[in-house]
This record gives sequence, structure tokens and C-alpha cells, in this order.
Amino acid sequence: MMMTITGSKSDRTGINLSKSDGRCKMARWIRNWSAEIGGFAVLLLFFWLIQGGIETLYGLKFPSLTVSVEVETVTTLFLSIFIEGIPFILMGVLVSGLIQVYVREELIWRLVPKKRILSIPMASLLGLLLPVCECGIVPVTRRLIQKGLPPHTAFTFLLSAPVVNPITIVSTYIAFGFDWGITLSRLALAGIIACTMGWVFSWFLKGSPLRPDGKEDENHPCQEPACNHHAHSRRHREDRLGHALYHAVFEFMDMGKYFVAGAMVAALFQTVIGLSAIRDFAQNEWITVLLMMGLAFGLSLCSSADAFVAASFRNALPTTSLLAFLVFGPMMDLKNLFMMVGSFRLRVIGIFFGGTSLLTLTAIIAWKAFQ
Amino acid sequence: MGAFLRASVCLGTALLLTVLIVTGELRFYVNPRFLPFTAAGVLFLLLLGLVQLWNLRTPALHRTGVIGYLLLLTPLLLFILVRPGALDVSIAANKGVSYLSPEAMQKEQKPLTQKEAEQRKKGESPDKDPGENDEPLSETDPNEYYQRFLEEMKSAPVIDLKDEKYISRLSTIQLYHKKDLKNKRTRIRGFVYRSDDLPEGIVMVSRYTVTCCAADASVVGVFASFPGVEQLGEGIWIEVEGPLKSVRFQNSDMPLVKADGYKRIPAPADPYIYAGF
Repeated sequence: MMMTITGSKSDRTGINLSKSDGRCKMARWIRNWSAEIGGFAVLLLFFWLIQGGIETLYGLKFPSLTVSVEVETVTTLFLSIFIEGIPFILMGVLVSGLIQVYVREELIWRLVPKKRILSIPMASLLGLLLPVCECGIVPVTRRLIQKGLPPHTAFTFLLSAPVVNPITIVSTYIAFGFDWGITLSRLALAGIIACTMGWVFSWFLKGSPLRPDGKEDENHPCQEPACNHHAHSRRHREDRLGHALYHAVFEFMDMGKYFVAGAMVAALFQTVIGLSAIRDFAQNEWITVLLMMGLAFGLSLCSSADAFVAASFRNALPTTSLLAFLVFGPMMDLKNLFMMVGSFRLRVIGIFFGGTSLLTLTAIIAWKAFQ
Repeated sequence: MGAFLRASVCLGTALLLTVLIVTGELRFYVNPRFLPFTAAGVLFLLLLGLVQLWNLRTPALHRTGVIGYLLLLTPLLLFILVRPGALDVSIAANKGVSYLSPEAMQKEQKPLTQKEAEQRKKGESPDKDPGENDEPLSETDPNEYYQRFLEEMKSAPVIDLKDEKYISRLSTIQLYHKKDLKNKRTRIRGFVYRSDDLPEGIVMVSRYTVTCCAADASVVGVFASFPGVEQLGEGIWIEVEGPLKSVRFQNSDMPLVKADGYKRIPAPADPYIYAGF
């Protein structure tokens, strides 16, 4: 970013003041400053809109399509998932960018224990300190892996953080009528599954879990070894920040497109199938467990809100199926899966999906036997 | 071209969010307590958009693809083309209905015995037949919070189920409609909803509760019966007032407002009840 600006500035001072072609000079001036002019215009537009331009714009009443109620409902649900998630995706992208610039690989090596038996449980509790919800966690995890955090540790974090974090704990506790039983069961099961998945990954995963094109920024100029020698100079830091910001644009595009696709499918799922489908099958406990896991996957609710939805089923469904819903949903859901597809190899996602489903079932059976 | 598309995705989405914030339509989609997050999102999108404008001539770092850009522009395009509103009654059946609050549900399952309460605290399921000599638990312990609302409701001439603290008030009504609040005049507002299993002549005067976003909405409300109830179409916003009665539904006693008539009202500016914790 800095480089382009300084580049255009030197152009500006170097303009030859030949008096004959004033118009050409004008055109060149506009071209040189186009970015700044564009940005300024956009800021003015925003200012105008905020200052009441909205009403003028709304007065125009451009022809809105007449659509059926279903389309309108899908749109409302889609936009609500999108609007709710977008700040957290942006935060994830921002945190990822900050990690890229300010966290050195040596630091990660120093802080994370070498032994898996220590690092995996530690990662499962990291969400308590770094409460990243499931929307923002994929870019952060990807960046941590790029920075050299062992994939099994990173994936344990990815799976546990949406559940083992203060916000989810409090909301589950409130949703279930101030009942620690469900809350603690949810936390324990999610933590155990995340740790087990960490172990599974440390055994089965050879090579990088990242999608080949997800790694391409190794070729960026600032990732070259020559750059790192000068990492201490402040000037260089600023360049790196500029670069990280520019890179954040692409990371946002990358995450955003998969997020939009996931939100769209989840909104369709909610409108076409919906929660009520489950009530017809409430007879058999294990069928409901499976159905609730499917529902958690399809609905793609935020992990801080899903407890309230689960609680509304308390009179209709057995506790096992509610717990399956609460444990599986934050680990695996449609919108998350789409974002993972953009970041990780398909094989890794296969292990994620198969592993978490099987482990959730096993954990629920064990929990039931334990009662 | 790609650079302009990226800039317009960032700035366009920021514009969409700003429009929603300024018009207050943000409330159709998410709980207003998300406003600071949305505002931060706008600022960050502006930043990214400007960064992209400054780098118009810098080569792209990743390929996004036509489908990618189309997807990224979907929220904006859908908003412009469809102009959606708040959720209406048509999705209510899909959303699931919470007839009773968790507290009221606990109470409905017969007075808790000491032993059951302890088990419940440990997260165990209660025994099917509790010991005979277990003492019933005193009324006060889980419901102390609701005493405040109960006192307020008892002293008021008419119970008004306001949006503010709606869930707490609703739970209080559900907890005490058979004793302290019996026959107390109550005023409720909401849209008409008939779930399939409701008995004849009763509708639910309903609201959506939203915790985070409209996707997690579920239906709550109070039963009502009044003359002309059968002719009333679903989704119409009404206000009814009458004494608080009780009706047996799905093995629970549910509060019911028995009114002499109803009044049609415009849909409120805040279409949902927002959880505020």
C-alpha cells in the first residue's frame, strides 16, 4: 500500500509542465489521483446517506419485484445470518492479518508445548481466553497453521472454541433455566471430542492440511526470507501492515463467498424443512438424536444462540438429542463447512465430518450409559 | 475489473449495513444488541474498501472467480430486488413454538421434591417414582426472580404484557396464572397464530423471540379466546384484554386470556422480542 502511494507521488512531482497540453495534464492528474478521488467520493456518499440521503433514495421507489412469501422469508433469514456473521468474519480476518504481521513463528514455537499430551488439551481451553466464534475461527485457524502451529493443535482449537467460551457457557446456562447439568455436559463432551479429534489428526494427517491455493501467499514478497532480516525496522513494519491489510481484502473475499453460500443453503433449509419436521419423529430416542444432529448441521445457528432453540424442544424431545444438537452444531454446520472447503483439503474435511459425527454419537451413548 | 468488484463488494456491503442501521431495519434481522458489532463491521469494510481502492493497480493476490464475486454481491442484490421485511406468520410453524418457559415447565412437572431438585442440580434425570417421605420443595427458591414481577402485576389494575422484559413477564404469568393472578385482567398484543394442535376457538397471540438473529427466532405467546376468533386470519396483529383463565393443553395448564373482543393494531416498530442478557 505504502509503495503504491509513494510511487504515485513521485509521478505527480515528475509531471512535465509543458504548457501546450493542459487537458492531457488534467487527465493525467485525474489518473494519478483516481484512487484518492474514488475513496473521497465514496466517503462523501456515505456522509450524504447518513445525513438523510436515504429518504431521498427511498422516495425513488425503484420497481421492486413482486415475490412470493417464501422468497421473502428466505431472503430475510439469509440476510439475518449474513448480517449477524459478517462482523465476526471480518474480526477473524483482522485477527488473522494481525497474526500475520505481529506474531513471529518463533513465538508460536516457544509458547506451544512440544508434547501433544499437553498442547492438545491446552488448545481445547484456548477459547476461554480467545473467544472466537465459529464464523471467525476458520481464517484464524488457517493463519495459525500457516504460522507453524501444528495442525492437530489448531484443529482442536477450531472444534472446541465455539463451545468452550464464556459467551456460549453463559447463554446455555440461561437458556436451560439456570441448569448447570446440561451446560457442563455440553462443555465436557465438546472438549473431549475436540481433544480426540486432535489426536486423530496427529495420527492420520500427513503433510499440510491447507488447500494448495490457500498457501499461495508464501510467494508474496513479504514472506520471502530476505524480508524477515529487516523485520525490526519500523518502516518495514508499516509496509507489512499495508500488505497485511491488502491481503485481508482477499481473505475476506475468500471467506465471504463460502460464508454467503453456506448462509444461503442454511436459510433454504430453515424455510423448506424447519425445526418442526423433527416433532413427527420424536418417538424413537436414537432417531431423534440423529435428526437433531442433522438439524444442528443444517440450521447453522450461532453457538451463542443455539441453546435457546434447543431449550424450546425440552418438552418434546429427550435430553440426549438436545445434547447432540448442542455438541454437534458448533463443530459442524453448513456455513462452517463451506468456509472450511475454501481453506482445507477435502480429505481433512472428510476426517472432520466423519470424525465429529461418529464421536458425537459415541459421546452421547456414553453419556446416556453414565446417567 | 477484479479490483473494482472487490472494492464494490466491500463498500457496497458497508453501504447495505449503513442503510439498515440508519433506517432501523437492522432490527428485522438481528438483535439490536449486535449494533456495535455491525457498526464495527461497517468501519472495517470501509477500511478494506479503501485499501482496495489504493491498490487498484496492484496485482491480485488470490483469484476469486466470477461465481465468487456473484456470491459476494448476493446479499446486496437480494436486498435491492426483494426488499424483505420482518418474519411473518408463514414461517411460524417451521420455527417451533415454546408454549412454556423452562421455569414454568419445571413447575408443571409436579412440585419438585428435595431429592429431585438435588438430582436436577447434578444434571441427572429425575427418578420415575420419588420416595414418599421426600418433602416438597418450598415455592421460593427458583422463582425468587419472578416475585418482583408478581408483586408488580398484583398491584397493577391491568397486567400489561409489554415488550420490555416480555419473557420474564410471560414466565411470571405462566407460573402464577392459577393462583395469585387468577382472573386478573390482562392485556396482550401480538399476531394471530394457530398451531395445528390448538383446540377450537383458541388462538395464540404470538411474538417471535430473537436471541441473535432472525434465524434463531421461535414463537412465544399467550392463548386467547374471544368472539369472532374463528374468522380472524393468521398473522393479523391484535390486542386483546380480559381476565386470566387457564386451559389444559399438552398435559400442562396454560394461561388463557378470555376477552370480550379484539382490537386490530398496526405491526409494532420492533417486530420481535429481543433477548437481552
